[in-house]
Amino acid sequence: MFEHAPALVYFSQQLLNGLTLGAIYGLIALGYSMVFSILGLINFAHGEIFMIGGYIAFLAVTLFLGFGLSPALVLLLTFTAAIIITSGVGFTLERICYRPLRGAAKLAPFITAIGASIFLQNAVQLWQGSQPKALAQFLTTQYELFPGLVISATQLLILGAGGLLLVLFTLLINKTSFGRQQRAVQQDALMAGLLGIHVNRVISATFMLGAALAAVAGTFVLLYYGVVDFTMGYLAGMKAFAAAVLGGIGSLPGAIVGGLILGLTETFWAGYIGADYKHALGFFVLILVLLLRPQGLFGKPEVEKV
Amino acid sequence: MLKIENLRAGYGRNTVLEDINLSVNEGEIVTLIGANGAGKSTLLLTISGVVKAQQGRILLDDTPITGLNPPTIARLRLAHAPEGRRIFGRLTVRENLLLGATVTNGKTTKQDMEWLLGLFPRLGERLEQRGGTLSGGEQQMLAIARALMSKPRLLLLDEPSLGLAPLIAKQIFEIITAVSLHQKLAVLLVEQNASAALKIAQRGYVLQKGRIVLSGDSAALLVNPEIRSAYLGGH
Repeated sequence: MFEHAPALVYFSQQLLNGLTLGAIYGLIALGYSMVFSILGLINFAHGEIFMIGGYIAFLAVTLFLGFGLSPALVLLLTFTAAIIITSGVGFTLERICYRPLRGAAKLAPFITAIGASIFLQNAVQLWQGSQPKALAQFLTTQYELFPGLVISATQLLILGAGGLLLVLFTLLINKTSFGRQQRAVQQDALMAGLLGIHVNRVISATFMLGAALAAVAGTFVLLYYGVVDFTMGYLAGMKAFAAAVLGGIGSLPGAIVGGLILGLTETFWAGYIGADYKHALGFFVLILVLLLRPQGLFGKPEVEKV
Repeated sequence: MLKIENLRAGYGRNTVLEDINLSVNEGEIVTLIGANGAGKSTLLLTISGVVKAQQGRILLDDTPITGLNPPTIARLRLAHAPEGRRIFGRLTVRENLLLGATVTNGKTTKQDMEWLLGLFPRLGERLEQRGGTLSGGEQQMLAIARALMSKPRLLLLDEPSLGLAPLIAKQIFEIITAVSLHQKLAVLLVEQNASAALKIAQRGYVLQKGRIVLSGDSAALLVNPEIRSAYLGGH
């Protein structure tokens, strides 16, 4: 039936591409949302964490391919390395930049976040050079589902592993004792401390978790587009932030849905209308949603305590 | 078990409490009465490590705990149910209770939970409900039950009857008395309802402008003319 409906094939292809992009935005957006809900901080350096994840993945793939390992093993090692090292960066960022400012006026950590973002970008530029890093041929298999409808191995990986990760992550937050402690700290850190919860450890773990998800997103982007560069964190970070706000900042399902909406809108816009205003579109959608629902799709309106 | 020596504490450079000497023995209910702003809540917060002591010592079983952070102190089986209940409103009743057991490293058993739900049957009916949807009395019960989940040896209890109907407040005082008796739980009770507090406590301290001005057996305090006129409505 597909042969006779090129429009449907085209639509399905855009849908597939949009979901792939949306999953990546969603993974980054979760980090924004988690940190915001626990500290009330927009961590503008989060885009850079994602970028660093991409670079670590690039170096790891190159290194492990050089050993002549099998693609599956290379992937496994790459994800492991990217997650571990990037979580370390997230942990350090919180310790050095944000923890000393706990309790300071909100503007101070916010400006620090912008500073950290500029610092990390430049540090990576000095370390890896300003030229984008392109990946040698890796994981380039494509499967034709129907004539004209193509899914790449990378897309399968992103949709499969990304989806699984989002499910596992939701379970972690909602069903485990760590997740319970995390939600308690979000709501009332003082009370959580009185119950014996080590609030600082929970906050560190939150930053590491957010960074780990961003590292996975960075690895996905590297595999999907085959290239990383030191400025890629800025736009991706901004869009993921828009996705988090769109979904209702602080809401985890909101971050995921916001990411998917953004990915799909962008892809369909580019596919049907033109790539010209693709990057601005996400923010247009954001403004539209906020006009109608200021708390975002899944957010709860702020209620003043009496 | 709790001993406070020459304590001075406050916020930043401001001193709220001065020259506090106080003790609570094992299994004993001790009440702290005083007007609004006398420093009662600040004293509890200083014991649990939220407010920093500026001078003096706080000893738990002869070991100084001054300067330790709140989670470390909580892990010494000192539970604090603070002012305003501070229920996690977006978490369920069950989750609130489980969080109370954080310090027991899984040693709070099903039986412990069932025992608590026996004390507070209303909570048992609302286990999967969000804390924020409970009534004031139920929230207070949840706050106390959550504190008891840690199997504490000392409970700091701040204004448990605040905003509650007299009948519910009475029920809560009865439960506290029973638990203290059966579990050998020591309680340091801050209460605006001084007569109710003195009736269940063995001893009491009167705090005025950050200093302890009077202390003694509850029975003696209940008939003390100064206390009667200042805190018991004069009858």
